[in-house]
Amino acid sequence: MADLVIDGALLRSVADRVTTAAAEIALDASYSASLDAELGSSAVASALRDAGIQQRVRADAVAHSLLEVGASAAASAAAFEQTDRRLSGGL
Amino acid sequence: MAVDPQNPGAGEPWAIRVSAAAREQKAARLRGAQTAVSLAVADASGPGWTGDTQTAFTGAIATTTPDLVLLADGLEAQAAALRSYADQVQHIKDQQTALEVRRDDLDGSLATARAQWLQATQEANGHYVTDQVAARRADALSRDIGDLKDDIAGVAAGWDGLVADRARADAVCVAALSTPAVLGRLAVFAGAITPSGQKLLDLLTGLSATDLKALLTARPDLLEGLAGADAEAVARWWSGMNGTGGEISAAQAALILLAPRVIGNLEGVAYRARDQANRMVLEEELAAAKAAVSAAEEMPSFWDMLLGGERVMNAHALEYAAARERLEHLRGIAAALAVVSSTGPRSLVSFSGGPPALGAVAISDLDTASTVTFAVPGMGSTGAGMLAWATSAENIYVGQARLDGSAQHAVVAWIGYEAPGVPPTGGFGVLGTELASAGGDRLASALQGFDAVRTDQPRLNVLAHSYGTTTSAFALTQPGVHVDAFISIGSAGLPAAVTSAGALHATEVYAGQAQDVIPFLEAGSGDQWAWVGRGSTAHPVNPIDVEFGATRFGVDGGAGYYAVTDHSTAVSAGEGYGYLDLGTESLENVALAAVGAGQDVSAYADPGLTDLQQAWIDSLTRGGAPYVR
Repeated sequence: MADLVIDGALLRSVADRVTTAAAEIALDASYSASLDAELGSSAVASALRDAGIQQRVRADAVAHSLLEVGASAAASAAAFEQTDRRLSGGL
Repeated sequence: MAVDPQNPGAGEPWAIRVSAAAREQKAARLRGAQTAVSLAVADASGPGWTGDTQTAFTGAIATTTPDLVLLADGLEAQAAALRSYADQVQHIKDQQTALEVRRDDLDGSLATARAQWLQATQEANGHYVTDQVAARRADALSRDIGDLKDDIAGVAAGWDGLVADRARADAVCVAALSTPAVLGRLAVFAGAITPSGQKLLDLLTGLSATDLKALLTARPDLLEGLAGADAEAVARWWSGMNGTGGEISAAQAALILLAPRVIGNLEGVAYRARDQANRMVLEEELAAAKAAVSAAEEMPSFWDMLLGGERVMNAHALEYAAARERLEHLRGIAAALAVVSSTGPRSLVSFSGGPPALGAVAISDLDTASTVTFAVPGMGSTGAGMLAWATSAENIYVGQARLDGSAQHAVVAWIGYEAPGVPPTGGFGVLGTELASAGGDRLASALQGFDAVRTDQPRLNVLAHSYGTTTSAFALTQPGVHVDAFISIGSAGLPAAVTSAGALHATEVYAGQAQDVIPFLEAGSGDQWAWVGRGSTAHPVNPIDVEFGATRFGVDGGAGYYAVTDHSTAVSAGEGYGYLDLGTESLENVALAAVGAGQDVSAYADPGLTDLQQAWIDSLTRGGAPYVR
């Protein structure tokens, strides 16, 4: 096991950064919409739509992962501080 | 897709540029997010946070970086492709407009010239004299018309050129939107070609969970190309994705979630994964079946009944009956799964919603058991009877566990084929081999799938009852199929071509058969239907015959065991015993054969004819004299 060092403020800052970044990643439905009329080609529209579907799923997965990671950092900070308070209260 | 020949400049270049700009802007925001994440990792990697959680944090962040980069790169590549495409479409559109103006002008000039030529020709060819001036004008106009036609042909050729240009522009854009820069490793799946079999497995190998989610969301039917894939190749692919300690990995979980109907029945996939997938599908099918019953319970409209009369009512009754039957089949499978037993959780190792709904419920763990028996039922078996068949399978399991407690056993209640119905209401398919042959193919596939998953080669048996023995014989004569033991009980007859135990791909072959008795007249004293089945010319071979060469075991009671009193495998308490009821000599011998202790089965003693049968024969041989005992 690695040595344990925790700066609660740092963890919250890290968690905040990651969570904010996650919110920027999601792709809305326009990226996988059918653009046959605008593009004037069903082949191009199909290729763009298929790629868009894949990109949206990928973006959701990345955003979900980052939110989970950010939440874990925040939870670590909270748990550490709670434990620290409980231990110090017992002294 | 082909270019519209009437409108090669179709599309709105300005709208295409708007889409491109939106992608560029999103890519920039993703780059910003990537930078923020990198800074967070840098902060988290300093002296203010060390320990296992920090290591896990930075590790988890690292796994997202390639996807973030791919997203940003992909959006930028799309934007570039769309901008270029917009320019080309604009160019084609401009040329198209010019050609349309030119064509309209030429069409107008041609019409005018034709009218003038007609007039000049009429003037030139007067009734009494030829007007030389008009004739020369007509000649000149004729030449003009020819020139105009040439010009119009030139416009048409230019138009065709635009159509070709647009087709090229479309192809270039599609290619640019489908490169690895946009799709990453999924670029190989772009286009209309659907890979299958080994090729598809190769392409799927190594894809991340995110890749698989993205791929199967865009192409939900893609994995159907794995149907019929080589089970050993599937097993290598699947186990190659295993998580730590053989657990289901994120990639495998994605496949189960997004393609449960394929994964649940894909031979070569680990059974715990198939169970997860099949349970999901069963829930869906149950919900759909309940909805269908509710819908069928609605009476036809008054006007439909008035106008359609009996025809409408009959159709409604049939629809309702079919919906109810399907729901009963599905509920039977669900009920078998829901049983809480000392033998541990059950699993649904294959399932299809049908109709008819088919499935296989495993008692204990097929992924780890050292002795596995596929139990194949006969005539009249449906999903509705899965609870009873799984109980019989559990009886075999219990018998095995008592005989050999050191080994881990598993028994599969396999209703994986459409069994013939019970005559006369269920038809007379039981006298043929069509359903047995089709079922044999499915059973063979299941056995080969098991061999592919369990390369540690546990003991593998097939236990079959009645028409299930006919079905199993078809499976066990196929190339590449082999079991350690085939155990036949109450056989309805093996196919005519299977003349001896040696024809079956089984190291050991066993047969048990209760006293043949006359239906109804001798009910409750033996097997009243098996011999009727063996009366079929398509499956007449009796595995209990000495010359067949099976190891024959007793089922008529002995050494404190109950005798089989009915053709079925399970008889209600107090009404006799079926072949797989607890406490029967039959079940004991089946369990002995299944655990590999075939040398200990009790010997079969030919019971001969019953008194009534003997009396009938005597009566016939005495010219019809009544029998007096």
